[in-house]
Amino acid sequence: MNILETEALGRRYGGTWALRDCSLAIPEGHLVALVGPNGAGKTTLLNILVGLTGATTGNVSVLGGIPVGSPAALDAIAFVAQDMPLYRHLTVADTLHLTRNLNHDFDGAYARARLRDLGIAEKHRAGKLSGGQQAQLALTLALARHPRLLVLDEPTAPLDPLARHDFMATVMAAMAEDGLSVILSSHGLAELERVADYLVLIAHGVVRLDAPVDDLVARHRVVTGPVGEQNDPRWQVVESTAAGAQQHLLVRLQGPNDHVPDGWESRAAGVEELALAYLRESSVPTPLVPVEASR
Amino acid sequence: MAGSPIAFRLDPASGVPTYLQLVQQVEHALVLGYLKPGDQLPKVREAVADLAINPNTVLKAYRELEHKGLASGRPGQGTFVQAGLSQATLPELAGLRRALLEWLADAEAAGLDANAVSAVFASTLRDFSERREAESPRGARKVRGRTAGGAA
Amino acid sequence: MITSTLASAPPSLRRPPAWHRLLWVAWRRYRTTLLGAAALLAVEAVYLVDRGDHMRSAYAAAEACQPRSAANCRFAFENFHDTYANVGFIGALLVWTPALIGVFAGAPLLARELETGTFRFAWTQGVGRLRWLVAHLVPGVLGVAVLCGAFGVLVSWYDHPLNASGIQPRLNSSEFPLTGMAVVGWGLAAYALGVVAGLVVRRVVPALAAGLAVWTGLAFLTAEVLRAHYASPRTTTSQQLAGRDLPIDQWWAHGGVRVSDAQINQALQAIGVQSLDGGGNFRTGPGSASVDPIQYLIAHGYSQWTSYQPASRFWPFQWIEFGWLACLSLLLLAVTFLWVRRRAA
Repeated sequence: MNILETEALGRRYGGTWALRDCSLAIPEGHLVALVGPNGAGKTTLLNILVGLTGATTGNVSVLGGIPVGSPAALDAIAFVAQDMPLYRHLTVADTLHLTRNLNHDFDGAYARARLRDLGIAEKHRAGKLSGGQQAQLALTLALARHPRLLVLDEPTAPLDPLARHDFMATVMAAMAEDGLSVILSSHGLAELERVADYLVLIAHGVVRLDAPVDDLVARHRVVTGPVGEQNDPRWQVVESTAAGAQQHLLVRLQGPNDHVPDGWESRAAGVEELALAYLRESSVPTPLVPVEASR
Repeated sequence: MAGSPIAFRLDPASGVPTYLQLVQQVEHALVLGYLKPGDQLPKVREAVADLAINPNTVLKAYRELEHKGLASGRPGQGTFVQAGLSQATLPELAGLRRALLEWLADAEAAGLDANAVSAVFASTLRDFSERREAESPRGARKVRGRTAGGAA
Repeated sequence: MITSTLASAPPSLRRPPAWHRLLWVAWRRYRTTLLGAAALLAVEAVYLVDRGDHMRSAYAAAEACQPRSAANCRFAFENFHDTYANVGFIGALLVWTPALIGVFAGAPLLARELETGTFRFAWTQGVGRLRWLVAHLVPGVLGVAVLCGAFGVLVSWYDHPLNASGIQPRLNSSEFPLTGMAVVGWGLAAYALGVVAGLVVRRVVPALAAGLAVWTGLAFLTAEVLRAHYASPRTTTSQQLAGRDLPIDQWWAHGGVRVSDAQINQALQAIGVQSLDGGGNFRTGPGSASVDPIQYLIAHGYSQWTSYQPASRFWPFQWIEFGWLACLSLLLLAVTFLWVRRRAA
């Protein structure tokens, strides 16, 4: 089942297209990293996905064909928006009560136990908590709904490294336990390789790449060799760095017999490296054909 | 069952993919005797909560260990060590070390310094591994699969 | 595909919405405003009850004074009139009470969600944004109606001796919109204006200001222009209006035709008097004879007309005013509902 399916999805604000021609089919069970610079269209896509805004053109559905914004979708998707919006004047206890009353299913016992473990007292006002605690509170509220999809908009941007680690550890543990799918947007690339297993790169409102991380890594190599030598014509060069005598090429392999000629160095490309290269590339790349053995 | 005898720790700066680090740590633990057949590997949920890594990565590492015949999963219980790593005997190890020292002397005579030696060794090891992969039954399946994909 | 998904959906999806849970959400939201409104009404009640008690004593004393034409009795009535015709410094607060209650309940509802971004939390919860909105609007409307109604009862109680004594017209602009059904209408209008202002302005304090400003403009317009014409005014040539009737306009006519001020002045030149306002106010000049200008005009075939609204139209007008205010409020709230339904971000 696909957790998200879009077909030529687009959203226009006034005269500008914040998102256009977005076609995705993302299977469930992954942590999808939605990566791109500020203003790329990540928040727009997420807002459409959770039903906060509508699409101008195209189709979109979640969780295997459910319309976005429908009661079934609202029940199954939990969203933590940018800057973790919480009612600052409400106590933690009141916030739990509020969330319970706004949902059909809410695991209050889980939420209270988690907050106890984190040392967040229920009588404190949400606005008085530290940034990390607010993030954990927002995440707890989302996870206590036992959603099938968790959507996070730049969740770790305001957090210090320790808080960031704890936050992501909680998300991953929930994935391991509940079979949760996660879509997470970020404009940073740090720790991408550790947390994401599906990557969607987006820039200027256009999806530049979307593929499982395993496929991406299997399909690319960084080769180093002398300038001017005949390259394998089957290589699709994504990015090249050349000086007088030596060049490095980030290439996408096409077939089974791609190999590195003698004298050339070759290494696997890192996920962050690949993301940067595809974000920089000016032309829209061809879709990535999945490697059979990785399925 | 008290849990696993080992715990994972990641080196974020090593450049080695996460799942491979996990595989290597299990293999090292086996070689060094921390893990014995029948021991349980860390539960996915605990590893994930400690390291803040994707659970699919842990699952991938455990699948790799299963392929190597080192571990097997029992549904609902976890993943358990199945067999030990064959260790080279002490005389064999001594012989290998001697051969390596001779090779290093040759390399030094040819003008290679430590970095150059490292580079040559790494690329040769990779070539060797790739050839081994292609020769093994699983590797041959992989090649066949890619051919089919490439022709499409 | 969808069928199989719904079949495996948790049973909770098929339960009807838990309105009592949403009621808690609304209560928590309005709690502070409710306390503020209660405090305001309490302060006003203390003041009005105290003053009202004194007023009743003074009125009873004046009523009991016999004979009415005696100097001391006339003085008692005049004193009563002078002291109690004006409600005092609290007058401004009273006039704005329905506005304050309504706008402070309505404006922060959407404005605060949009300003702080919490709508991204509230409207992605399981109940959805429309149920959320309805769960807030219905208690808001009912609460404002009840509070304003109670306030109206307080004001009517206070005003009772003033009405009985005929000091002021029943339809006067200070009391009329603060009692009966009209006050409920003004409260609802303030609430609806507040909600829409919150949606449009998206910031709490400016939305409060905008809501109050628009409400004040509407109230002013109604008092000055609209209210007097809910029904065609009656006319009379009688010189004395009943104290409870509301005069609207006054003019002179000759032979059944309305005459202009210039014509009146021309006619009055003979006795050296100029009309000041076409009604009963005249300015006497140096050579004016000691003739009553009004009697002079009447003797020469002129008649003075007054248009007015009789006091008996109090309740029909109350319902008319409530009616159009309630319709306006419903319209504004419907627009809000449709707007929220269509888009949020």
